[in-house]
Amino acid sequence: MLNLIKVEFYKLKNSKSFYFIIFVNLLQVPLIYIFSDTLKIMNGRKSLVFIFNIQSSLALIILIGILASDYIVTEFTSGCIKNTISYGHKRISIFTAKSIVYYVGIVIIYSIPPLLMTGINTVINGYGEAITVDSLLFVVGFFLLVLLIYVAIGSICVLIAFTSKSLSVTMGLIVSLDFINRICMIIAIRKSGFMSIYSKTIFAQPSIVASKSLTSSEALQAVIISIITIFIATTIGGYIFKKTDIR
Amino acid sequence: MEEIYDMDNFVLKINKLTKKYKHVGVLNNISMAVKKGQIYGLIGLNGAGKSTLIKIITGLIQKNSGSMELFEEHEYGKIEKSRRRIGAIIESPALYENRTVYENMHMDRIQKGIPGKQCIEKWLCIVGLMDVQDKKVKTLSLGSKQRLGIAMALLGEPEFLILDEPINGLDPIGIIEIRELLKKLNVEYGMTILISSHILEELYHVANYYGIIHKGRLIEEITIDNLNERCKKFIHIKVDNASKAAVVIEKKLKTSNFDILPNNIIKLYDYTDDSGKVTEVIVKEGIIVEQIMPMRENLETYFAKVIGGV
Repeated sequence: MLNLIKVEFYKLKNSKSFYFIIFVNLLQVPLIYIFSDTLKIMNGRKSLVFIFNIQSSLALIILIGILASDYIVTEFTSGCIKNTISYGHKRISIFTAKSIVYYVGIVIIYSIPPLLMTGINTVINGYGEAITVDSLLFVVGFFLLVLLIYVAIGSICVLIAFTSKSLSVTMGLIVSLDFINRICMIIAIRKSGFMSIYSKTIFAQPSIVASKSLTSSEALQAVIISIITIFIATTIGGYIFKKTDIR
Repeated sequence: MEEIYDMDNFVLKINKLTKKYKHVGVLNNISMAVKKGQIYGLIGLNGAGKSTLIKIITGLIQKNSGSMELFEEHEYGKIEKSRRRIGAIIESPALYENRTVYENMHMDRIQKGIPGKQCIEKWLCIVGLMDVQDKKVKTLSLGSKQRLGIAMALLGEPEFLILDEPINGLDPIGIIEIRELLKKLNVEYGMTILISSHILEELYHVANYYGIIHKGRLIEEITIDNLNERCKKFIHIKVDNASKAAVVIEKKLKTSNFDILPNNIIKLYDYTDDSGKVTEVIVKEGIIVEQIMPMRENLETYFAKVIGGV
């Protein structure tokens, strides 16, 4: 297992598409900064929440879908997964190692813009409050919560990638998922009845968590929904991969 | 070879293995065993079930029924662990095309948990790829990719090497080099080898035991000695009167080790290095010899006969 994680980190570290996705995601920082007058006057604390909120409305699901395709599906299309299995690694270990490193990749992709923006605005406009243990705990907790949500969304991409084993099918499904999510979001804004259902899905959690008035029950709900999503996606994905014939 | 290794030890035992894809039988009740130190040649036409069998052995696909024993382990979890003693190339070598030769070896080394980087250079040197270690795999010829696949399979010096059609894409010199390498691995490193091909002639020069697989069934297993016996040398004689010539051969050459074929052709299995004497004896009796030449039973013809193609 440890050897698998080591080799997966090596692959991620040397993946061009990983750095490309980081670059594309980073591009939004100067763009948002130029076009948003409110961001320019925000303090560090507010800009952290603001950037996470903006990120949730961008097509970041598609970006992590590209990473899933390049990082996971390529193993199947190149046949390299055969080497790993035939060497005697347990399939569940292969699935777990791949998922862990992929989640680390997602965390890196999502963390850089908010950290960068918060850092810049803290230098320019100050942090907005005294840096105490409580305020630090809030930032760390908020950060972990948002990353947990994105890891949960990533677990769905892992499930799709391991199940389809096809670049086009993986990308097609992830783009469709993003599209359906946007449609659902529009319907939910217009119909409050639908909103109560939509707000319980993992895709609604980033915007709920990044809203100005996050309550502790909403935060807890986001944690539970994320954990359930990761658990279901991992269980189904691991089971399917274990039972699949690699032809 | 048989004297060198402990032939009581089996590396692989397969019993009544069956695999179906959507009710279509791909493997049907296959039973076979590979002994330690053997070079087992698995021969079959394309689609005969060779790759499916190899994929079951290497854990890529699952059997429908039957049992398998690998390094004397037969429980699922233990078989999985035993696979760490295997090196394999299944169909074409699986490589990261956009990475260098060295990187591919390096990743495989990490994955296998092999300490030290010296082993990479050692095997690259042995398969003759040291000069291209910094080149991207996508720039290599098919033959070089095969060599790289073999080098990766050899990382960690596995006890059991499984190669599925490893000679595909190699030029004649490359084929000879790979043959010699496999023999060397067998003799010097004591590696047991299972090698598949659809061309018997290819395997004839390297394997010492053969399994012929056809339409998902293992229809014959044969040692190199038996194969030589069945594909033995003979003298092809075409005369004007075959029955008269047969009597002469029996009386004068004192052998009945021949077959009479249609069109007055005789296949004589003795005196294969002395066709001059045979000619002299037959001609002396007034029989006209239209054609006489030493020949060898074609391996491919034998293979075709076994699978029912001739």
